[in-house]
Amino acid sequence: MSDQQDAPKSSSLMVLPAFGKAPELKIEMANIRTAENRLIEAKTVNPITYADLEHTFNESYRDLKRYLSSIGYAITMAQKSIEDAKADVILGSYAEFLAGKPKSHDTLDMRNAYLTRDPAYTAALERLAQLKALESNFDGKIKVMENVCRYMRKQMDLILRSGMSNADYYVTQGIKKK
Amino acid sequence: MKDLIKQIADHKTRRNGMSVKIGKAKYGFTSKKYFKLKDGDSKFRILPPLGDNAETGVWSVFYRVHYGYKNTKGKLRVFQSSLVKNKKGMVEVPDAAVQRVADLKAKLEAAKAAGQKEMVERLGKLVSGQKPMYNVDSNHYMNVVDDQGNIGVLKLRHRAKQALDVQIKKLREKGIDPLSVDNGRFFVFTRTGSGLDTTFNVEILKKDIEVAGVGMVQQEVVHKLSEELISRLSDEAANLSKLFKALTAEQIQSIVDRSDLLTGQSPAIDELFDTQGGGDDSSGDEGDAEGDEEPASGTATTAAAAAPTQAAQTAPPAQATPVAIVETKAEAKAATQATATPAATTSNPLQTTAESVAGISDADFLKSLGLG
Repeated sequence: MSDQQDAPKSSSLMVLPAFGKAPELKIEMANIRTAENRLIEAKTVNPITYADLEHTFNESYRDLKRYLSSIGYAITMAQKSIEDAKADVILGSYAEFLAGKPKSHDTLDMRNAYLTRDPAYTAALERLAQLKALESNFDGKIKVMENVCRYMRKQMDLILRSGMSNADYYVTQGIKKK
Repeated sequence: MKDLIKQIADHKTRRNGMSVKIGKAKYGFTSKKYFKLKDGDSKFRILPPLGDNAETGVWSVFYRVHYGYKNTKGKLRVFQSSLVKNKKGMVEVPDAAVQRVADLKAKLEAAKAAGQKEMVERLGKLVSGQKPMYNVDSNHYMNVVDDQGNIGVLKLRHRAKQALDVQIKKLREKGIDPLSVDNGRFFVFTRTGSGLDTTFNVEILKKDIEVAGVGMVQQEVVHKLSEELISRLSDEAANLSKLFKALTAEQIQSIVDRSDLLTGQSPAIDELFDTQGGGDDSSGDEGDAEGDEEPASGTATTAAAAAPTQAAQTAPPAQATPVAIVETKAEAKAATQATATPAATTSNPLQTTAESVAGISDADFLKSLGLG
């Protein structure tokens, strides 16, 4: 069995592996990347390109929103994993570690230090940090989509209210020589 | 004794016989009348919330409706748009039919810019002009009585509804409910201009009266719903929350994907409307091309319930129709289009049948027409 068989078929598919009880998170980035590649086109939006651009950006927006909610769920699961790992350590190996030691040894710093050495706890913390970074990244992308759509709406409003002929907005040919 | 019992029994039979209610026979389907504002003055008295809406107090419902899609027999079927935008203006629930109209309009603009007259003409028939084939019609709908006593559904553009709301607010500040049964008011709607320059004015209907020592003064016309009018409401007024069939975004996508662009015929319409008994006829008339406005989010009540559509037919000949009111003839129009469109299809060498269109995207289809 080669590793290739398990690799995602689409190059735009981002897969976050399953962690603890949280299932695998698949994020299809095709629409998002297409929208991001076309962001520059918003600068020259006109009645011809508006409909298609708006559709592209909105499609990406919907995908981002959907994935953001999945990430939110994954964050909650990661937080639960942290609590589970913490409980396992404190009630398990940490209790054994404290056995025979004076009560003054059980400080917050000591507990944190002990927890930091636990691989399950550290992995859960890293997972949470990873998800929060992804959430922040997707939040930013959503704001970009909102702003670009608002900008395009304003531009279209200006064009429609300007009273100029639509033909004046497109450069489809050079100056006609009479 | 037996005679006495028989006498009493006979008396009871006679009495019961006399108390039987006698009703008016119903023959066939009672159609709903649809009114819309035309240039000049139109007078309407808005009816209070009826039927399902009586408890909630909803007297006006906003619908964004698609026109242009037909079943395979060529009968027009209208349905609600699934488009949902959030407060930031982003599309949360898409509508493939809205997207198709936007794409076609963009193609039209491109053709205009490139000076391709033939393409402009072909695309113009689909999405431009006074009566485009594909149109998304946004209106507020309410039950009304016109000044001739006809009951029907009035569709108002958002700007007209705003003007109406101002007048209603003024009356309510005076303690008058203009929609009430006993103390209602007629409104005079005045429409002027066309297209994006259309303006609407709404006034309360007043009459001139002579007051001794004062002269001519204006008095608001108070309208009371008579028993006769109320008895007609169950048949002639519409259930506002079930005026148009509501489809999901996926169902609309299916209609659009499988439709013939030139005729608007889609087998998905048959499956969704005609086999599920979801509506026999189209409602209202075909939407105007004049600038469709939409209310700001939260200001409009949108009916979401899927419901059978109701037919719009012409008025009975006995009932006089005021000049300013246009009664809808969706059936007739649909029939006209149905007879007109096959000619257009046959003249096209590509034979754009629904089956052939089903497999290709709009973009590819336009390319095949030389419009890509």
